Amino acid sequence: MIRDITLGQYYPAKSILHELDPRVKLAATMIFVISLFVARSPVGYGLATIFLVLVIRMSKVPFRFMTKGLKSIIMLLMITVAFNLFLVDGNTLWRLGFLRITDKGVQTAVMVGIRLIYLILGSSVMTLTTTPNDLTDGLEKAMEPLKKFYIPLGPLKKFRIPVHDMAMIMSIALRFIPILLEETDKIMKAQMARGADFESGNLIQKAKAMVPLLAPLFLSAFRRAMDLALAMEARCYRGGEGRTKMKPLKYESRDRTAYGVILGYFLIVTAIERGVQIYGWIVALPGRWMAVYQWILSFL
Amino acid sequence: MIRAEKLTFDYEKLDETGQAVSMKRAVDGVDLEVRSGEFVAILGHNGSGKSTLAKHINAILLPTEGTLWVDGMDTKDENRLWDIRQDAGMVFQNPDNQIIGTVVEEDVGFGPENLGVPTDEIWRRVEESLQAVGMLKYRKHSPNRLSGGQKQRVAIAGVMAMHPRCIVLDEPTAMLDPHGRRSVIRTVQKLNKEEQITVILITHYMEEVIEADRVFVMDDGKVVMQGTPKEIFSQVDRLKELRLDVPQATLVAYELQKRGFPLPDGILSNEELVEELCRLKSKM
Amino acid sequence: MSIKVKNVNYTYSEGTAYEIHALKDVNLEILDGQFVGLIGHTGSGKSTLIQHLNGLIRATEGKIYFNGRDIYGEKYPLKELRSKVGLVFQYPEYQLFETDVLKDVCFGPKNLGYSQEEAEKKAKEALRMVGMGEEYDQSSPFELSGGQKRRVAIAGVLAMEPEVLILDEPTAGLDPRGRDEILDQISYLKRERGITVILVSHSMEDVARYVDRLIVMNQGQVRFDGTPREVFRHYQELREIGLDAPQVTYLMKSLKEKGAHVDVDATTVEEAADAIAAWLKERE
Repeated sequence: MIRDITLGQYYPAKSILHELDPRVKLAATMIFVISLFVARSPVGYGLATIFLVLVIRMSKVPFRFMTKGLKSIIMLLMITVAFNLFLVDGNTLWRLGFLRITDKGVQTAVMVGIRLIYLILGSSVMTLTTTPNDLTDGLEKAMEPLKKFYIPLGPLKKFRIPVHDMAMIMSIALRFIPILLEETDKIMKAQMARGADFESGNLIQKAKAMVPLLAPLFLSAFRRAMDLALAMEARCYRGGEGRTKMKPLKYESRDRTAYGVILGYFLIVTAIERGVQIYGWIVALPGRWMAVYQWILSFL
Repeated sequence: MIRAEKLTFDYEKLDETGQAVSMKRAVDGVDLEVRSGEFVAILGHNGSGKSTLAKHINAILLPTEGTLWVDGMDTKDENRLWDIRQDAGMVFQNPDNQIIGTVVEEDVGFGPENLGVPTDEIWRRVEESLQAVGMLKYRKHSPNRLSGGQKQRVAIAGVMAMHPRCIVLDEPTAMLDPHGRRSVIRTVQKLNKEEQITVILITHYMEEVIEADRVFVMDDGKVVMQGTPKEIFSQVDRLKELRLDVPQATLVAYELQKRGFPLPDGILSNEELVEELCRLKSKM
Repeated sequence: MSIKVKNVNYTYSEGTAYEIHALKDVNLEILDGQFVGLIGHTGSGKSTLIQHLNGLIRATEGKIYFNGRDIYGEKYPLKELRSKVGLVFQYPEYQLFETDVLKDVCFGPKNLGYSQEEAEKKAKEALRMVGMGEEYDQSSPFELSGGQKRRVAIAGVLAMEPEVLILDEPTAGLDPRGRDEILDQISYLKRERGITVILVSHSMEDVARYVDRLIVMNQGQVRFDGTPREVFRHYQELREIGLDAPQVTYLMKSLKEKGAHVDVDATTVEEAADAIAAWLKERE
């Protein structure tokens, strides 16, 4: 159950996606997410679907692995869909007491549902094909310009945005997620062997039942954190300054191609959604040229 | 290489307000010298102070009293802190809690990255170190999928990549199964012999110290026995008193001695015992 | 009264890249009052097997009977099974969570529905059984030593008054003193309560002295099953699967090869010394 959360779980495989520069993947994920909000029509969603399916196929990660990430948000998904289904105004299709479903409600619910699912799938592709270290390297590099900014705190103190530290914290967190999940599983089983019951009872009872799980888990997490800090210091870690990189990020030709592909996809989706407007604009062009022409003529 | 003089360390126990309420002397006036290229084992129970001592060598802890020199550098000298840590690498007990990278090779590169080693050089060092511990073919693996022994060997490679002259291993095998334990010890022995790395192995397993050059036995913060493994294990009574393990071959010899058979002291292995027994039998 | 395992198969993460066939057609019967050692190295399936015995893991295929009843049968009370077949996990000290020792041990009996008073009575009894005196009842479990924490954790399961007690690597990470104390305590417990005990370990040497039956697992299968003497006769096969018989077994074997007339079945130091002494005294 707990092991099923895919986020932050790298899936080793040999694919083009695995080899791409993490910055490309970060940007691509962002662009894909934006495209989900740009898309409004079935054609737009169709295009997003095709793109997503192609990318998933290219990643060589079994599809089952991707959908595992969905299980963890199923509650959120259902609540969101239900909200939209029942609360959006429009022509009533069905009514029961104060509950009613409208045509617009169905439309938005489907749209929001698809958006959420694609969003998770899209970001899962990124986390499954990028090692957490690459990911934080990418983030660190992408955030580098931020290093120059600082907030002055008095004459001698400056608060700089700790870009390196943030990246390091994230990468460590990602490394320890699977370890802590496994540990949760172990502690849970051990307490179940002592008759603990994590499933039945009402909400308060369930919350109470978590204490025997959470107390040892937190203690262990702290212990690990202390150990890790020691181990890092012993290996001469002293922050980002003066550090070199084993794998400095460098764009290759495949990265440029990937940028091209994702931008192309985005333009097409935008174009389709804005198709009518653009069409209208193009149609209006001769008239506009005429006006300009006449305007120039008027000077002569 | 490493020299300690009257090294003493007190742990302070703090109450909620941060006031020291009690002191515990963990290391009590230890004198110790380790020469370059030696394989030294420190044997003792949990709470005997052996791990506290080990943490001094890497300047993670600083002595309350006394002094410790690593390669002539006083560990209290803050300016040399990073030199000391680079020179005397440290491997810890829990394999999970010391691997920082999410891919084996990235973890091995962590130390050199911190030292500011140029990228090409890092790659060379990573390859060398992984080769030295026999983990090269796992370089692209996630540490989470490795066995305990393999993880510890990765941790050793991570230290080796910093090009230290000395490695301190703080109970590196306590959480491993016999198979993993053997692979780690063999790796350490190999590094000692082939790369002339000075090794300080902290452990409570006697079978790991048999091939050391010298053994220190600690109890209650003090060094209570020191010598070659042969010298140490010939004192079976003393070891039993400290409730430390003794090789079974040594114990059998000891039992036979008690029954009046004239066997020499300090038998450590089956081979030696068999030889001695055959000699004895032929004389009877 | 017994545990019967019939044709049990278990596969982890079926259908993914990480699929592992952890148990392959395991058949076993553990009789009432037996003291069993379950040996195998990491990944041999021993930990998976014991989690089947109290229903924490459900077999992919096969059946398990406890006292004649199919535990996968409809309406079988799994919660009750977990109290009857008490399982103490590896590193049990990491599961302690209450503010004092007594409360922590009460957790089990209270989950079974006993009143505060009854639970405390059972908890106290269990704590005394593992050698934790009354003076520790109110102490915080986090202030105890490693060995003491482990005793408290064992008491936590014992307080549910199980018929079968399974201990997964009860000596992992303990020093020789702690290891001997825990094993002696378990063996005392076995005698006093007369319950069935299954001791999971990767060390033959440790458990051979205590148990009357050894089950050796390798790659998800039962390789050997019998008394320690019977199992150790296969010392060569044992070495092949990465498990060692006690050192004395190899000693006796080497002696025999040299033409000595000794009993090769000796499994403990005392037996070996007896056998060798008898041989040395023998007149040609």
